Amino acid sequence: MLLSKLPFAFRTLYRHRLYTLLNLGGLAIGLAVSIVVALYLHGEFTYDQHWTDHERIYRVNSEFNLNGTEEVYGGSGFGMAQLLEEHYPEVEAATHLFHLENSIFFRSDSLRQYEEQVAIADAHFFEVFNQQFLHGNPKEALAEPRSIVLSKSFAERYFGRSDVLGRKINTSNYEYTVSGIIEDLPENTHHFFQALISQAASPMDSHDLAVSLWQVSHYTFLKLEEGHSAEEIEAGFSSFFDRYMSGLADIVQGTYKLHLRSISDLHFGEPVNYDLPSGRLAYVYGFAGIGLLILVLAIINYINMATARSLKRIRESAMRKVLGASKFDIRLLILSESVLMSLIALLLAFAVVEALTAILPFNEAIGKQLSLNFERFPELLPLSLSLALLVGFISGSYPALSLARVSPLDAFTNKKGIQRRNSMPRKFLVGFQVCVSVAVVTTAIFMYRQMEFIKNRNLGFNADHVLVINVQDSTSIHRIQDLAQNFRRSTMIQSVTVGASATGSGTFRSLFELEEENGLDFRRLSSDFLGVGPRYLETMEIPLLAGRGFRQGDLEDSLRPKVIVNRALVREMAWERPLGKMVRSAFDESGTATQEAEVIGVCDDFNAQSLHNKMAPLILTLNRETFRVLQIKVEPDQVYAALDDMERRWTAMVPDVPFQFSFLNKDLLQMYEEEMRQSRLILYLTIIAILISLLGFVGLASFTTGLRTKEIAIRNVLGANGWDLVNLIYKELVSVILSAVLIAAPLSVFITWQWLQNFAYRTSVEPIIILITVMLTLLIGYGIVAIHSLTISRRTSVQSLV
Amino acid sequence: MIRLHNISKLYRSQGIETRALNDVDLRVQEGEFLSIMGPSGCGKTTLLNIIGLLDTYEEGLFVFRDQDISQLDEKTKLQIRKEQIGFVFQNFNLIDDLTVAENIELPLHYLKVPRSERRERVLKVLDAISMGHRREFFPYQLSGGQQQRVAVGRAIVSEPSLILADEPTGNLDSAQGNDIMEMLARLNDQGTTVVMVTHSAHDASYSQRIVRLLDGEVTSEKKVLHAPF
Repeated sequence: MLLSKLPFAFRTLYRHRLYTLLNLGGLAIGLAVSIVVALYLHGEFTYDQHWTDHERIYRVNSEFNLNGTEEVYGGSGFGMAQLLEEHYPEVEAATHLFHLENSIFFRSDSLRQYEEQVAIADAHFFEVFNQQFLHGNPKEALAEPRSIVLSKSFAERYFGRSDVLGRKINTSNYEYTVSGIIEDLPENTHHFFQALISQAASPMDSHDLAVSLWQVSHYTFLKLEEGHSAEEIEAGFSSFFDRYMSGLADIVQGTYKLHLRSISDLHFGEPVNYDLPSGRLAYVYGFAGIGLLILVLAIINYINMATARSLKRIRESAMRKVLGASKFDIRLLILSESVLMSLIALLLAFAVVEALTAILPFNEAIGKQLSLNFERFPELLPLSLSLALLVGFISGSYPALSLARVSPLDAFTNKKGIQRRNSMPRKFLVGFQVCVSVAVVTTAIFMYRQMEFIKNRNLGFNADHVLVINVQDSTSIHRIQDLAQNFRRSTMIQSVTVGASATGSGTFRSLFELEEENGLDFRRLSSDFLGVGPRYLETMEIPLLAGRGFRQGDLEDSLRPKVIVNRALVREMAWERPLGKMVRSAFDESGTATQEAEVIGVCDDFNAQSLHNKMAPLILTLNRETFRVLQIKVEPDQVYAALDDMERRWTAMVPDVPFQFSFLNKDLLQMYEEEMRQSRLILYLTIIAILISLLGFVGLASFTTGLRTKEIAIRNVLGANGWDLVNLIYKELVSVILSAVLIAAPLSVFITWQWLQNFAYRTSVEPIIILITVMLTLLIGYGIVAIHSLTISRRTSVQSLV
Repeated sequence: MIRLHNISKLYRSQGIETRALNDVDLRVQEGEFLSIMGPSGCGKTTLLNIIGLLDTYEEGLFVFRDQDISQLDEKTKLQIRKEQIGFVFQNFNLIDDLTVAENIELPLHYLKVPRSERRERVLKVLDAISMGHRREFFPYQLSGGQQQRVAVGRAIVSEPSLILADEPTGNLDSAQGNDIMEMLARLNDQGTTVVMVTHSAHDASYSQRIVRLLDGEVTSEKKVLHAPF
């Protein structure tokens, strides 16, 4: 029935091309956003479901209770996998995995590069995780020491092809034999890796295995026999505990509980210590909600435009009724148009999504790997088809109902009042659109201001023209001080310092004992500390308030360790003469500090952590063992020359390791990646929302002017000029805009305020911004009405009066 | 064919009651050509709409081909309208998005006439109204007279027994107007009953009987005397 109307619907859409284009655009954007959201949600909610038998695979979470504090960890001891498998007949296979935190330097004949996401696993890994092998045998792949299983793309990067079984690949420390090539893991894998190194086999005796259960070092995974549940293992754990753990439990005075978590529940699982970054449901729902909102905006838009146009179709449908069409016929006709429109929009939407994910840097911007892959997400096609049909149906139903309701008599006697009475729902719909857009725009502006604030905030140190070199392989770690010394010889370099980590990237925390002002007592204080090297304060331009900074000579003087403290610590300790005060740390089993250092300087406070945290008391320590990072201040006008020079010096000293650097300024911004991503996403959505709302506004303006064509003509004849008419029409819309804004403003303030709670240092939510947005909205609304009514009033002639 | 007895039509607006028709008595015989005349606002169009089953009435009896209309539901009225009544309006009311041929074909759609028969009947009508050469044109590409001819074609394609015409020449010049009136007269000659509302004495002269309305009441009825040549 609907099908028979399609040719006519096609014709109507073609004849009103501009209208069709505007509507199609709106619907396509709405559907495209929905598809992107669907892809995103699908990825998030199918984490680790790609593993065969994933419903039988569990990770062991450990709950320790030591000295009365209960802590749950995502990891467990080295021996856990082996002992659990031995103890429980229900365990079909068990394995453990260890993620290497640093990036690893790999080299083959054709490529040398740092790689992340490398892990170490025992020989049983592929008995639990059934990943498809392209080459090699899963049973033997990790059996030999120094073997490595590579993902297909990893192998192709280093060897140009994937068939490389038996080839060698080196890291800076070892040589590995490629023992297997597997398909790339999908992005939505909680324990993701691209290369898996075999566990260096050093068999432990049962005592050592039992002791290892009290430490958290590995991730343990179990695959249970079919028909057995995690609860059975957990319930029967006491026998395991008695056999392997109770002995040590008495000595450490602790208890241990084992929790099995289904592998596919890890991504959104409750946060535990030592887990990998997991998904945040709030973001997921937030994103889905915004997607839905945009779809609703698009539907409203269609309704608005279709209703606006239906003014012109009232006579048509009236005539059809006179000729014998029933209400049902009319509804079917209008619905067939909207459904057709929605289906075409779906095609467009697919193209938009493909362009977004495959061509434009959308994935990069939101930090995901979305792709329009119907094979991996087979429900996508039927899902989006039904969505399109539903959208077509919903958006067509209001115009269909209202057109079918009009009686031919009213239509022929030109009772426009019937339409004007109906304008309330439309005003509501447009109001809703404006409300959402204003809320989104104001929120986006606030977020943008906060990010600017962070970029421009005085961090307490100067990150400009500072290069960071992270050193990770043993060769260059060994020579890090020589490298620093060598760089200092360059005339293009102002200053070089070594340290444990780049400035601003975070600190460590430890317990200290600090000498009180009276010089007699010591106070225990849990404080942040940061391992730095000589010339740290000069290089970072952190003001020195008293005493001196670290010098090269201090490194040699290991008998009398020295520390520098910041102003916040001096304030915390209420020191009047901080220099010479003693700081103790490194406590033994009896609780006695084993090391003592002297305060030799006080520096000003600076943001050693991200702006999410407040500036806190901080102790700068000097420990050459921890040096991993070179921070180099180069001459501002010679940055590129300095880079060339440094690379030459680097290659001369450690030729096997590539010269890799970053700018501290950029690194610092990366700490706000999550927020940047959010604000970028909001920016995209803002643009979309504005686009759709503008379309909606055009619809409302044309509806309003359409209703009053005759009135406009009469006023024209009586001498009204174009602007009089603009004002006349605008008066009707002002109330819509204003009430929308009144709802939107507090809403956006609330959202922004919630978001700003993530930051210790934040901008204020200023009313002036809301005021500006309101003014802008009114202005844009006026602009659209003006363009529209001026055109109409020029076109309207006395003919409208006949 | 049509019998109206004491038909009254009331409009209520903001508490004020207006009588659009007051005790109208009217009979139309099968095959008759009747004109309804009267000044603006006298109720001509209301009367025509009631006869066309487009409007309702408050009092009186309306019998259409031995059926008491007040006893019929909307569905049956719709059925009668599409099978037995054709409409011609002053402003044509053609559908802009449809071609000449499609406009004419439309009533047959709603009558569920099979496609091949539809085509045949449309061709016949196109021929009868001499619009065959313009069959693929859209209404806005035609002159007023041509549009009205298409409207007449659309009214007759379902071969109704009654044609209701509301000022069919009101928007046309005199040559075009005559053309349309000739067509209506020809249809009447072939046996179709025609009821026409008009201001024009000239148009009314094509009919056999004229009913005059004033303030919702029938004031006079007279037979039109036709010149023999």
